[in-house]
Amino acid sequence: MILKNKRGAEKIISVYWFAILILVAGGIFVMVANFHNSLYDVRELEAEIMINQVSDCLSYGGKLNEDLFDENGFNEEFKILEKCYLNFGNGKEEYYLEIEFYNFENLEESLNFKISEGNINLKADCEIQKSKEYGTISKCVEKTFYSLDNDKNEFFIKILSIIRKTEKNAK
Amino acid sequence: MQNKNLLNQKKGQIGETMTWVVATLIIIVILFISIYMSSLISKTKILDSVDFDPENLKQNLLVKKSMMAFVLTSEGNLNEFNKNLAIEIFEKIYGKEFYILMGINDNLIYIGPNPELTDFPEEIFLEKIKLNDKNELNLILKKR
Repeated sequence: MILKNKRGAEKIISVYWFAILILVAGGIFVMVANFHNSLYDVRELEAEIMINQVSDCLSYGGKLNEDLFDENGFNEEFKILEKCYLNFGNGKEEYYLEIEFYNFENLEESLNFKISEGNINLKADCEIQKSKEYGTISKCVEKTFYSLDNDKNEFFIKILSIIRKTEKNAK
Repeated sequence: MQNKNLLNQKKGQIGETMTWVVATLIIIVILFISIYMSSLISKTKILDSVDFDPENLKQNLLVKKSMMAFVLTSEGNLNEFNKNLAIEIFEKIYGKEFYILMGINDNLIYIGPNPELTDFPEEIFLEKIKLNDKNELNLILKKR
């Protein structure tokens, strides 16, 4: 009688172990799938690359691009996308690029010349990101550098690069 | 006597079942914690330029450009480091975020505030510009 009971109990326990095995395997599968399916967020890197590309065409060897100026001062017709070999393609709404020039004495107040391209509405996301970082809105990177013009006038140049592309980088 | 024996067996069975139930619950809880942790870790899949840093010290194109302009501004005297001009430029741009260590060859000095003696800030950027055969302008930015 006891022997029979023991055999029955062993069968139940082996079924139980099988169930636990499936549960653990399923759990590991879910964990791996979860990690593998989440997207790599490369927007900050992309924004930095864009800033590097733009800075390279604005200033070379410490001097600003001559095309930025005309006889009246700054050249309002300067085409940043063309000059910097940038192509936003069909996703123009996904990018925003803004370049502001500052006097050497005052890094707070920009000069009356600004270059911008792309979707200006994305700028609002930068304000939100300042208080708390959200993965599902645009990523903003802002960098400043120092450069001279041909007459050795000194400028600070601030470049703001914003990338949205939420669907491709964050869920 | 037989009844008492049956009761004892029943108690034993209940005890054993309870052990397995608790064990199962623990396994399930640990599993759910692991799944939750993996979902949290998966949210850290963010790549930035620090991840592409081959030698722990990152190059920064914009720092280099500013240094080039700095050299052009202080042209004529490449053997002496113009600390005041360096403060004017680099402290304004990077002062809020970094401690700035700058100078010619190994004569590096902090421009702007120094880190605390007990503080060992991590080097983030290292840039060099060759001024002439003997001299090299160095700039190191350390995270505040």
